[in-house]
Amino acid sequence: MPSTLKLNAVAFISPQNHPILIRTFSKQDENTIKYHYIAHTSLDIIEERANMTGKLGDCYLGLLYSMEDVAVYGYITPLKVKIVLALALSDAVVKDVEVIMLFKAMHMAYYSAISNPFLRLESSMDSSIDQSPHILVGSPKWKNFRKRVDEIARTLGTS
Amino acid sequence: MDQRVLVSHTAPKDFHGTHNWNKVCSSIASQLPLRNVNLKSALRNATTTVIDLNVALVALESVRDDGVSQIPGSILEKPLLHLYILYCQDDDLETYRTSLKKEVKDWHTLVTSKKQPEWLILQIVRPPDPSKTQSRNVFKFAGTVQSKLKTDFNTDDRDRVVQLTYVSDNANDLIWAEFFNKFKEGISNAFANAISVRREEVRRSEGQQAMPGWNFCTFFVLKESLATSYEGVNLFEDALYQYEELESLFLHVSRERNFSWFGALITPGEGDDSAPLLSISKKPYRDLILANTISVFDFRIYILSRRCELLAKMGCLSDVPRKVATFLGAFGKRLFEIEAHFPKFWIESWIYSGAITAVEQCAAWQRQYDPEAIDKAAVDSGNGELLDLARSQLEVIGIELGYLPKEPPFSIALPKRTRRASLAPANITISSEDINAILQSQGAFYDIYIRLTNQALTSYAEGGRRKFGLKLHGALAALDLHRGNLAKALSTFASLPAHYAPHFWNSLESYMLSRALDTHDLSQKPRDVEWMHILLAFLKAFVEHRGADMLVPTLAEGGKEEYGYLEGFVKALKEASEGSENETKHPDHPALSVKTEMKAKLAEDRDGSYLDVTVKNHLPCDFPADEITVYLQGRETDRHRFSTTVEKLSPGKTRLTLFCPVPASGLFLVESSEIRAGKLLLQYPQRKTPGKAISQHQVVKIPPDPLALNVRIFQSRKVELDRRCLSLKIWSGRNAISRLELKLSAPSVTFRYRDAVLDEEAEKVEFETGLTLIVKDLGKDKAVGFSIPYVEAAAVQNMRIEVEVSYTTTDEPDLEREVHLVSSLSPSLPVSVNVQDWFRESRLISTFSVSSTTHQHVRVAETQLIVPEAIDTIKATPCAIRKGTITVTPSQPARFMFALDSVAGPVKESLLFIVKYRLLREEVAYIIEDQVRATIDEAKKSQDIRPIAVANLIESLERDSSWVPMYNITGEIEVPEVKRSSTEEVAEVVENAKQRLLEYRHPESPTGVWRELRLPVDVPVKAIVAITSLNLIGTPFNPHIGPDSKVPLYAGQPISAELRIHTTFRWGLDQDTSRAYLLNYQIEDMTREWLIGGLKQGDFLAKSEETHIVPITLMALHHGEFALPKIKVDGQLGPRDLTAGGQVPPSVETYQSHSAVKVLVLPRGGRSTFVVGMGSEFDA
Repeated sequence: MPSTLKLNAVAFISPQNHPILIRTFSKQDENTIKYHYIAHTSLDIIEERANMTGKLGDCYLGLLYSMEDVAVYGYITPLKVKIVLALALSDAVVKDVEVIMLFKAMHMAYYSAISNPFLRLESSMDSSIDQSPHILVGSPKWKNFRKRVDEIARTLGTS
Repeated sequence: MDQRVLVSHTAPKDFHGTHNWNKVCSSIASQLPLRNVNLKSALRNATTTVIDLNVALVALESVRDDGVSQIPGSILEKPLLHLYILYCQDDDLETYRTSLKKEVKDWHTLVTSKKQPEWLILQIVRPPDPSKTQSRNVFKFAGTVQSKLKTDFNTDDRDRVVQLTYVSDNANDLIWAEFFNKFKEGISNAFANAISVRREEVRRSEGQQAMPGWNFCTFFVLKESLATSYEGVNLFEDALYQYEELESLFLHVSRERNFSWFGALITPGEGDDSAPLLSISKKPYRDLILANTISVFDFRIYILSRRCELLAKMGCLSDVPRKVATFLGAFGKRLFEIEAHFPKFWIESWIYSGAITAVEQCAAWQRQYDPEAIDKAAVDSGNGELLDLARSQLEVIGIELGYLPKEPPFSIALPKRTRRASLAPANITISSEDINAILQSQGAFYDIYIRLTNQALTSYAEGGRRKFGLKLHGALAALDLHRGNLAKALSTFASLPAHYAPHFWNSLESYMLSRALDTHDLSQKPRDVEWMHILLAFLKAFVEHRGADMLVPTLAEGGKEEYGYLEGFVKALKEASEGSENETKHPDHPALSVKTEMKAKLAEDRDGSYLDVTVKNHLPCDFPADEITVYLQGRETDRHRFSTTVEKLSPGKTRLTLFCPVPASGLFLVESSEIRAGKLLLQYPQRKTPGKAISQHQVVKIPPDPLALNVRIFQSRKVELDRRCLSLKIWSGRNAISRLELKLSAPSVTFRYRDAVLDEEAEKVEFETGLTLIVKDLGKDKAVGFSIPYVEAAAVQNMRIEVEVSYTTTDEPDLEREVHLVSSLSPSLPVSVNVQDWFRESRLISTFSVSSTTHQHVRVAETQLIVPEAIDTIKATPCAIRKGTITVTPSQPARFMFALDSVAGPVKESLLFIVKYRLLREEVAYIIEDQVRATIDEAKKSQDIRPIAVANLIESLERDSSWVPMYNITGEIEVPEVKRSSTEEVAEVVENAKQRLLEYRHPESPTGVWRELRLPVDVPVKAIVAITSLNLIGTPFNPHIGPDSKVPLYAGQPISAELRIHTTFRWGLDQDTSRAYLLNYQIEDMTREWLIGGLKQGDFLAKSEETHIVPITLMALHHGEFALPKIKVDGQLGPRDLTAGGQVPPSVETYQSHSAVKVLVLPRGGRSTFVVGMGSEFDA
């Protein structure tokens, strides 16, 4: 079944609420700030949700909110890395299963990127700017993560 | 829709309507609504306990039989349970049989014929009369009415007959318990049955979708009846689920474009755009559905409203705003597809009004269903989102009308589409008041926009959505900017980044900062310090984000222009910083970083050292720096500044060499680095942060420079105990010094520069003294020494002297070098001197014992005891025989003896004792220095390598002390193996010098520089010196023994002797020789050797230069050679002295002139017989 989802942007946010990567897949450049805003504001809701669900341990936080033409979904990994998806708002019913699948793919992309042992090397070397590896993974220097995320978005678009 | 569960009731004709009947009915009604009814929930597939269930009792007759309408209504429209109430005493079988049974039978037939045959018979009895009980029971064979009823009507397993003993006062609820249990069970069963029937119908209808003639609307009504039924019994979740299923089915159907049951997507009516979204009563939706004329628009709104209401009833009010927002967004998008059918902004108006009315509805529901506001924060934040949505509609309108610029943050909401021209008929107009007002005036737009934004802000604030609030503040600031409220916009933009910074949201932070910068430019404010701070923050954000994903429009476009924006700012930064009055310091800016090398290089040709640093510029453009400075911190408080000037720092790494003109060596900590651009200082302090490991500290090693200016401080060579003085040696090294200023400081010590004396041995030089010591024109490789006296306020063990030297060389007259040295000086001397005195009649023998106080060996060249020339009453003669230098080791002091001959009278002035000494290591160092100098001279080489060679040799001597004994004796220095020298040249010199040292011998008389310790020595005072002698005069056989006679003395032989005590007052202070002192003498008891006869002790008056003689007899007790007894003379206070009071006895020193005399006592040979009379004869 073809997916009805259209991914506009994805944001990875560290447990300390630092943005790791905010990737947009829409053409308009000046709208980038919108997704930065979305990622940032989502933190409020993720916090609410995480407090509410408490220790249920469900990673998927569901629809966080919808703003203008995007629906924002949240996901929190067991290690508290937050993933925020901005899906194009459509009139169709969005099945949670599909969104969860997408989130899992994103989580895997992050997971495999963070497993790069060279990241840690860099984080300890570069002492002038103190960054933990999960911040570094999103830096433009490490292309792998971006590549994977882009690939997921592309796969979603073509399916 | 207030739905209730209906229960029909019937009674026998004669009971119905009676007083008792009414009482029973009201009693039952008073127990309603039913508590804790177990109902079967389809969704959970289990029984759910409904806490409150509304039940209404109606007469069976009032219930219409099979529904007239074909519309499937709620299953609750018909009674779920039929109740028959009869009043009959249990034993009144007669009445039952005759009349009641038939009536019940009729009722039963009627009820069971209905679709939902759930019934219950309630038999009411009076409480049994205790008086009749006994007799009645006798006849109870035929059973009771209750058992009759049971046998007659209980057709299946279930017991549907309840007996109730009715007590009129109705006090006890317990009597109702059984009835209500049955009652609840009945309702629960009936409901389950009815639902399952209805579900079956729904399923059947759903299965017929594909069949022709299937109508969605009909199906909808059928399915909705399920939902309303669930809702009626408060099973909201099940009800909601029905609507969710309906909606998804609807979407499924609509996706297949099977729109035949609906009119258009929308038939916009008057006021549709401003109608309250969640109100079900605004349109006759149900009728529209039944009539198949409902539009998709209305239909969706209807479902949404029903769902929201159910959510509100369920207590999930917080979900409502989200549902609404999603719906408005999603359905709005659908509407835009047919945008042409509406007037311009109709859809925006609809979304706007929908959001705002939904907020109002939520507030109403909250009051109704959640009065305690448990969920208030969540609802508030949801409302905030809705208001935000409404606000974004305003933005869309505003941009199109030109009220707002088409740029972020306003353009965020702008849909990605082009607006099509409206083809709408004129009769559809926008009915929202707000939107109409906006369309008419710009002022109204701003008012409404700001009001709405503030409302949203309030909602967010109450809902705890801080980050949403920030976004809105940003929007408000952007509006201020657009409207020209630059000051306000600037302050908001300048304050916002602080909220984004803590979590490294550089993208938003930098966006805000760039906005602030732009605003600053627009407002044409001078580029002041504040501007610089904003810019620095912006650069920081830029660098930390490494230039990626920047949201600054001019940067995001990419290409070369990208950095033009930045470059302009960086250039302006320098200009601004040059223009500012005060220095602006900014710590730890990440745009630049400075990395120092671990090791500094010596400058070689001049004093000072070079330090290589790598400056990394993280910006993509040049940074206009002026100066790079690194501060190093030493062990003490000294700080060294390495710096170099630059013009700019190119992007990436730049390697620079910094210079510090101050000669210093050792390990230094990198304290901080600084990059200066105009008045802007970017500082990088290397602070100790608690979290980080110490290894983060950078250490720089500066190798020692043997040719740099050197100032050394040591104890003055001449030490006079009453006049403290220190020696200072300045060696110019490679520098030709034009001017040198030196200042010493030490705690509680005052240096008297004015009394400074130039050392004679060293070079002559011009110098000035004042508050400091200034030396002028000191040539290359010249050493000058000074003695500077000082005054100590308090004696200290170890004096810490800080030396501040500033000097200029003739080569670099503009550069003043400042050297800060710390030197520690121990005021204690390496030698100590002790004196011991022995008095004779006119001679005093003083022994000076010189010992080393430290572990160092001390070489003593000479000692002198000098009598001041003015004194002629005393003469000092050294008793030393040995010439040459003596080595004093810590374990072996040296003694020097002097004889003082008193010529006349007491001596009041002190003599001077002088020790010329030096430490062994100093002596050896001088020798090495000399030898190396000679070696180099011989080889005709530059003296520049001398310090290195000397250091080399001394180092190897320090490692092994085996050469010391040999040196002490001969002067030969056998240098142990020398470490490999750095250069061939040095190695050669060292080898030659080693040879010379091996051949070196001590000179005949001490040469070189010696330290001098001058000690003032007082001539000791003794009031009385008593010279005692014990002269043997004669034995019984030889009455006169000459002084040197060899007369034999025998043991046991009495020897007459005399004790002579000669007293002299010569060493006393008292000039009055006529005075007499009372002295006491005592002859030592030598009981093993001597038997003493005569006055063994006694007092006598001593006068100057007089002799007191006491005759005594001695008898040796055994033979052998032994000394004569000693005599002790003590001063005693005479009666006259005692009366004078407070006087101490005069000090008396006794000199035993016979102390070395030994007497040989022979054993007595032969035998002597003595006859001793017993006395009896004489008595007679």
